Amino acid sequence: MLDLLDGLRAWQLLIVAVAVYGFFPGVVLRFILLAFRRSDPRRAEILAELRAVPRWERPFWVAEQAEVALFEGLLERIKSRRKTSQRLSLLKENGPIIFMKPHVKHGLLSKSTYGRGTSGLVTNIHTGPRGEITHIDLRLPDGKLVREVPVDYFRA
Amino acid sequence: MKLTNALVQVALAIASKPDDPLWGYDLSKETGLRSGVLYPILHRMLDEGWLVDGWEDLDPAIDKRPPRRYYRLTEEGSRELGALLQSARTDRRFAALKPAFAALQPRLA
Repeated sequence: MLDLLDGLRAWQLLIVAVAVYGFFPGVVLRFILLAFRRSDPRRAEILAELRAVPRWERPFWVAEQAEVALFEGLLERIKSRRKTSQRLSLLKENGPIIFMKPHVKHGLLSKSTYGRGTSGLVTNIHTGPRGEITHIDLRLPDGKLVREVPVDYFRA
Repeated sequence: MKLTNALVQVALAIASKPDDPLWGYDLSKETGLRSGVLYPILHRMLDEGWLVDGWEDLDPAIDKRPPRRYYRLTEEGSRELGALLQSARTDRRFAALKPAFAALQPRLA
């Protein structure tokens, strides 16, 4: 009886595995690719490669990408987070930064303009695929948080 | 870069069609390498300036698929890969790759 139940469980597992990897490899792959940073081109690269893989090979190929995502994406994320926090604390120590040119931020129903000379304290930095700072979040003296301002606005 | 069997296999595959754009999946088929081995090598080559990358020029709405990322060999990459393959050719560790070297011989000369 127990053997029969074990067999049934194995079958259920197989059916779930076939359904998940066989019919929805794109969905599974998208989840796996979340291990890469949002700006990492490998997210789009691997997803596009999926279309070139023959259907019967896809489940195995998708499983293979889990290894890439784990060792390349996740480790890189950890390393980059460590580096980012070091750079962030350095920026915070240096005090407020100043807009070198006016910045217009469009919201869903609003528009805010930050003039040249507006200053704020850095609260977060966003980096690109090569670890370069691309955007900055900052808190203005009135307490308002401005998110994801391109770094060009702070260059002379 | 450390001379490994995987690196030499990738170098051979790239050197066999130096003017063509290279795709990750095609390279993995050609070399028989797993993605976990192939992609780190490609990205090290990118970092070294041996390859440049780009995106296929297509309209996803018309072609019904997203554009693929390709890699192209640079002049520096061509020189470096040539030197790498020359030294690998005489290395006994890569004796199993002799047929691939033989096929590439006219280009290496």
